[in-house]
Amino acid sequence: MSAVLFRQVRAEWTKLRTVRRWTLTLLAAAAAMVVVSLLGASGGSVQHAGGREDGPPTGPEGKKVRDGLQFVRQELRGDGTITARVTSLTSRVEGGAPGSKTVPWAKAGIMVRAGTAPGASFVALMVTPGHGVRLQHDFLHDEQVASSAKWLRLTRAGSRFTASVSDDGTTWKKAGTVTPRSVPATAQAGIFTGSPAYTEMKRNFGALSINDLPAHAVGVFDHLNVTGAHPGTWTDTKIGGPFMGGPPGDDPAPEVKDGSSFSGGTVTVTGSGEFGPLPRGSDLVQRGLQGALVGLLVVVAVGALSMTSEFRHGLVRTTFTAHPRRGGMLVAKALVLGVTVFAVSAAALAVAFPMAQSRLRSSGFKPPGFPRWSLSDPAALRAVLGSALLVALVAVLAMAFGAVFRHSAAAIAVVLVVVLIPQILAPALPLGVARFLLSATPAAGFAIQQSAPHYSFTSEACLPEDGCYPLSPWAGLAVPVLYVVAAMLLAWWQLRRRDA
Amino acid sequence: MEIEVDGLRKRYGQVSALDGVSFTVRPGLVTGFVGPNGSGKSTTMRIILGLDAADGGRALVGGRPYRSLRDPLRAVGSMLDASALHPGRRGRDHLRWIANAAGLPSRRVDEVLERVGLAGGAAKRRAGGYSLGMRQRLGIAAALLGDPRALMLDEPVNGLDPEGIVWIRGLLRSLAAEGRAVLVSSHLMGELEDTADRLVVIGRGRVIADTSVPELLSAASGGRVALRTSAPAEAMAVLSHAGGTVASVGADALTVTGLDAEATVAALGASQVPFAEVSAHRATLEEAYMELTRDAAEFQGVPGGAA
Repeated sequence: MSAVLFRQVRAEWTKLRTVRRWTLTLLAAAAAMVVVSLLGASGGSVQHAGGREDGPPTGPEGKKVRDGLQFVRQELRGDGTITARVTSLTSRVEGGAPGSKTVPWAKAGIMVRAGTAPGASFVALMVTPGHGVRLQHDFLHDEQVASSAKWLRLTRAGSRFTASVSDDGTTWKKAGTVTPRSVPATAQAGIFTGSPAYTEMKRNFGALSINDLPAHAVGVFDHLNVTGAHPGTWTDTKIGGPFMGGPPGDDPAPEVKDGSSFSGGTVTVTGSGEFGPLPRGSDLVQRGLQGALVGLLVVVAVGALSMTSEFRHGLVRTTFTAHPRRGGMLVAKALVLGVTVFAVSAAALAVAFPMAQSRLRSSGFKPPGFPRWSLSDPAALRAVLGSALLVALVAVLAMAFGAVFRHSAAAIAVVLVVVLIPQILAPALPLGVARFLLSATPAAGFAIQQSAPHYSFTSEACLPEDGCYPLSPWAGLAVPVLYVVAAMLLAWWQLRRRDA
Repeated sequence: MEIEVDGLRKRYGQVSALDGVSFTVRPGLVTGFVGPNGSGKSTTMRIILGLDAADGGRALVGGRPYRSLRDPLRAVGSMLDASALHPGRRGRDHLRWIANAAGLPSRRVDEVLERVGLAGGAAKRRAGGYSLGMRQRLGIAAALLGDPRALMLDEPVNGLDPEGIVWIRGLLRSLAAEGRAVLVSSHLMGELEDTADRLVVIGRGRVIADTSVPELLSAASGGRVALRTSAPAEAMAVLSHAGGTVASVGADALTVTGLDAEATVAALGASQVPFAEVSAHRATLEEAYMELTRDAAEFQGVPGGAA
């Protein structure tokens, strides 16, 4: 920091802390963050029915996963290949005519896996109706390797698996190579189908409808060929339950049965279930940080006033006679305000978070059904510090708008419109609009509160206000950063251009 | 450190606030900057401080534009508006942030508070409760913080009680005596009569006069001599003959122009005309100012050029 900027920072720090009303407002913001976080954690409770001891299986990387599919397999010892052609893949949704509804993440393809137990290490190459040809392994890894293909092949060489695709069965294109965590020398190789539930989620101004219909994928395979040491007879196995990993509930009697049928060289496999990461569900970290929104509302006033009071009382002339370079004042104010608000918010949220989590646990959100969160978990720490960063960014945004408008009411109103309105309206707006607002306005920064990583290749019914923001945590936080940068540049240009 | 203003022009929309203002503020002197409200005094000061941009001309402090000064508060101390305070901030804290900004030790805050007579309880109170006189003192304290070589105070006498007026006159004199260049504006000439060494009179955005106080007074007096005599008719004849123009202003009072007091006495003595009193007519600064700014004052309603 240059000596001049250091002086400006000191001056701005003295200014900020010597107006008692501002100090009190910042303390009030901290108190509001703690109280509202606690209140937010108190609402709602969950009762564990008990009995279902078998929770979701644990994947090869130690994370809870979903694992459900119909697997027609035989043992493959050592190196070898499996090849198949998928001639068709259709969806059967309960209550709908065949082919009338399509599940984008329905799957049909070939797979080599460690065993038939749920959660076993695997490699799979598959076609999907909505997302092209995918190469996945070990539940958490996914890659689109082609937009479409009929012929699929997996080649095993030691622990490495090479995927190839072809349109005609003669010209093969290498699609990728993966090394799953723990597929033993003797593995299960075969063809599979699976389909997540068919979800219709619609919302129009408050009316939310979520329709989860059981769905099956019907895959038709031919030119089935396995090379290497294998017994030559096929076994049909259902892995996981029909609603593996889905919400526990009543399984209605299915209209369509999972299974397989051989007819000459053609095999039809009907399967249901989804394999991959668990859907995110209720985000307890976010539920314990709801005070950040209210704290943000309060610090917006301090941020705007710290700048507009300079104009209102003519102090800005004194400031500029001390440092004629006007941009320096803006940077110094941003630093002092940002760091102060961040420190206050981080302290408040760090106090509020463990208290809110303990309240949530006493309402039933506790292991084994729900994870136990503490500040030492990286995702929780990221959410707490990131929320404090978001509050600080919004305070700086209000300050910069204060320099643009030179008027408190205008600056506060604009910041509230761009930050809070999307957050407040999101539950009432149509989904597309809500997702757009929550990725294009500074409200996108609330994504930093998401604790569960987002996997784009998993199907889930999750609303933005439940913690499923359209952007990943850091990408979301980058949006308010961009707003702050833009507002600072605009403020700087205005300060230079206009007479003080 | 000299303050030099050269051909400053400033327009606010269609209204010309400054129309070629030039003058110099010299070290060691108190320069009074007078003109009616709205004549462009404050605009000139804001341009000198780099707060407003001039449309033409330049303003230099020690030969450099204010905005390029390394340590501006050590070069020029200024008070533009005594009310430029956050009402919720204590007087002492107001000076502290300025000291921080200028890289000055907090010892300076105590020193200037002492010098303006605000040391003690007043500096610990919130500025919102200050009287105008206290605000003026705090503003002057802020201007003095950097121990500047030049000072620029806009209407510092405004709102001071008689004791305060005496105090500020003494302060301005002593600041100039310390070798500083001092520019003090006022819309009342009388406030500066006993304080200023030089006067820059401004009206309608132009400099009307730039002189020393005695020069301005003699110009306004027009070399008139007041005469009291028991023989006005003889006196008129003798003085007219000697080259003066004589006007009767009362039964035994005459005013002579064209002759100074000495020549008047000599002419009357030679002709043995009796007279009771001969004196050079002394115009007050106020009269001189009124005369100079009569035209300008008619336009004091011109918008934009806030005093």
